[in-house]
Amino acid sequence: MLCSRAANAAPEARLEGGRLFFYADSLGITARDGARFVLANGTLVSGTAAYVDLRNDRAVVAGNAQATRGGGTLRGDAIAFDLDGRRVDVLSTTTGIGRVDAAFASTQPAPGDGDLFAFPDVPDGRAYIRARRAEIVARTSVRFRPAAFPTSAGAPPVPMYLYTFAARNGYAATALAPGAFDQPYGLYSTPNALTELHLRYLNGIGPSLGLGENLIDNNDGYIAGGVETPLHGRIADGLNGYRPLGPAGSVSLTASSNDGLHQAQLGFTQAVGSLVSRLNYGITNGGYSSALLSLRTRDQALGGGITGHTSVSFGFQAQDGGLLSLAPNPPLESTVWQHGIDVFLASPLVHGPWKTTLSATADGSRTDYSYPQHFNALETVVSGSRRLDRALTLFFGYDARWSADIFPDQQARFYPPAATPYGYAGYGTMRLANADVQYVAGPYTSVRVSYRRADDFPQANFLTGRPPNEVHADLRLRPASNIGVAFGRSYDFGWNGARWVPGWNVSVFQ
Amino acid sequence: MIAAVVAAAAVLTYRVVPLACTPAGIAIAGGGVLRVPANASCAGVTPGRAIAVTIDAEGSATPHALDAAAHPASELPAAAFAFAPASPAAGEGADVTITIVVRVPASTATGSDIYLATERSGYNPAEIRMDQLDARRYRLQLPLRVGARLAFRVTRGSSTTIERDAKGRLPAPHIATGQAGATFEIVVAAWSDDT
Repeated sequence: MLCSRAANAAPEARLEGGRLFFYADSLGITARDGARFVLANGTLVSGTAAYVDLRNDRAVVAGNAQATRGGGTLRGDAIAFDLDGRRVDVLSTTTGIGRVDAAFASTQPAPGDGDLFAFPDVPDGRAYIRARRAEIVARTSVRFRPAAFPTSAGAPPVPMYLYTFAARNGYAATALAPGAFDQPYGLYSTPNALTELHLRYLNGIGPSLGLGENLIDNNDGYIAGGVETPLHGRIADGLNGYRPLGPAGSVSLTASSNDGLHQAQLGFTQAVGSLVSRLNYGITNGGYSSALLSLRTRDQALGGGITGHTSVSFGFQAQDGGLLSLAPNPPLESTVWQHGIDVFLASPLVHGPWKTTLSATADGSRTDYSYPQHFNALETVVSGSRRLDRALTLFFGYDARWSADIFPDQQARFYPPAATPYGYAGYGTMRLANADVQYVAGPYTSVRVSYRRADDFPQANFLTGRPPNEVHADLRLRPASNIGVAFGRSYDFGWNGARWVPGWNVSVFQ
Repeated sequence: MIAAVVAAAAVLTYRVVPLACTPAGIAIAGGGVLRVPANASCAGVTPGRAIAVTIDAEGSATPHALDAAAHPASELPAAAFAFAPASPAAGEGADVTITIVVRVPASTATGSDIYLATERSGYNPAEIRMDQLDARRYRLQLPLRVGARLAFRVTRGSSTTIERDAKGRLPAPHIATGQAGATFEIVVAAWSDDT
C-alpha cells in the first residue's frame, strides 16, 4: 500500500515569523519578532514569539497571544496547542493555566498542563536553519522558505529547504553509493514518500549530484531509488527495497547500474526457531547468475564463554558461455552446482597479561562443486587491545588464512606449473599482523595510525596478494561547531609502484 | 553565619525564559507565574528570550539582564510563584556529551571500520567512523543538547552492510537523546551481507 497516506501530506500547520530558527538536534523551531500560525482546521494563533516542538507536535505562542477559530477568539499571555488544533491551553498571569473548549467559549483550570508551555532557552546562533516561513507535516517533515544555513563564515541561502525527521525505516534508506560528503536537500515529502537532491563528493571521482526517491509503506517496507551524475564520471543508479514478511521474515532487493554493468539481487530471509534461512538470487547483464540457499544457526553459547554458529548452503552459479574458462569444454560447464558448510567459533573477550584484552576466532569452511572441485578455507584471528591511558589505546592482531582450491585430477589444468599469476598449485596462505595506535582527544577528535605487515602466498608486485607493508593514518576533527571532517591515507612503501596510495579518504559530517 | 547565608540568598538570580510580563506577574516557560513587586518594570523582557530574575525577601521577582551566574529556573523557590509550574522548567539548552557504544558480532572482520549513519546526513552509510574500544566494541562520543534526539543506525560503510536483527530483519533506527552522561549501548546481531 505504497502512498496510501499521501493524502495527509498537506501541512498540518504553517508558521510565519519575523525570524524562524530551526534546531535539528532537538527538532524545535523558535520564532522571534512575531509569530503567526495557521492550522489545518482553520485556527489562527499569533503572538510575539513561539516555540514548536516537532517531536510532540506542539507549539507555544508567547506574548500578547491570541487565537481565533470560527467566531471564537481567545486571548492570553501565552497559548499552548497541539498542531492539529484539538487541544488548546491558555496561560494568564492573573489566573494561571486553563484548558479551553473547542469553541473557545469556556476555560477550565488546568494547573497540571505546565509542560505544554515549554520554551527552551537556546541561542539563535546554534540554529541549523534560519527562515521566515515553515510548513509542518506532523511526524514527517518541515519545509522552510526562504532558508539559510548559519555558519561562522556566513549563511548560505536557498529558496526552500525540506527537512525530513521521520524515523521510519524507509526514510533511513538510500540507494546511492557511500560518499565522502553527502548533503541531502529535500524537495518533496509525504508520510509515505521522500524526494531528495544530494550534493555529494565521491572519493577518487569528485563532486557529484544525486537524486533519491523513497517510497515507504505502512508495514515498514520501502523502495529507495537513486541516480547520480558525477561531474567527472559516468551516471550511476541504484535501487533497493525491503519489506518484512510476517514477524520473522523479510525480502530485500538491490539493483545497480554503473559503468555498463547492471546487476540485481533478490533475497529472502526467514527465521525458524534458532535458525535463519536465506535465499539470495543474483543476476548481471554479463550473463552471470547465482542462487544460494543457506541455513545458519544463530550464535550459540558453547560453554566457557565460547560462541559459535554453523551454516550450510546449497545453490548454483551460471555463466553464459561457461563458468570455468579453463575447463576442457567451457560451454558444457555453464552451470555449476555447489553445497557447503561453514563453522565459526569465537572466544569471549578475556583479560590477558600486561592489562591486555584478548579475543580469538576460527572459521572453517568447505564448498563442493559439481564440476568437480572443492574449496577449503580455514581462518584464525587473534586480536588484542591495551588501553595506555584515558585517550590512547593500542590494538594488535594476527590473522592467518589458509585455502585450498582443489580440482581432482585436473589441478595442473587450472593451476599450471608455469610462473603465471596463478602459477601456484591452488594452495594459498594469507598472514597479516597489525599494530594500531588510536588517540581519542574527545568528541569528534581522534587520530589512528595503523601498521600492517602482510605475508601472503602468492604475493607478487602488480599480480596478487597484499602490500607487504602498509601504514595508514586517519584523523577526525571538528573545525567548526556544526561541521566535522575526517581524513585518511595509506602509504604502501612502493608496492605496485605506489608509495602513497592515490587518493585520500575524506568525509564531512555535521 | 546565618545572616551571611540569608544575605547571599537574597541576591541570588535565576535564569528564566519569560513567556509574558504584566503588572500581575511574569509567566515563564513551564507554565509558572512569578510574583512581581508593585513597581517592577517589564522593560527589557522579550517573550522567549532568557533573562535573569532576582527574588526578594517577599518572594517577588525583578527582571534583569541575563547574568552568567544565574541559577537554573528549576531552583526557583516555591514562594516566588503566584502559580507554580507543574514540573520544573525544562530545556536549559546546555550541551551534554553522550556516548554510543556498539557491540558488533564476533564474526565481523577484524579491523572493520564501523560507522554511524544518522538522520542528519540522510543516513549516509559512511557518515561518522566510530573509535574502536576493543575487538568487539566501538564507541563514539557526541555533543548533543539536553533533550535533543538523534536517530541513527550502524553500518560497515555501505548500504549493503547495514545492521540486521537476530531474525535477519532491518531494525528501526536507534534513538539517542541528550542526557548528561548518557551511554547508549547497541548490540548489532547481524549484518545485511551475512551469509
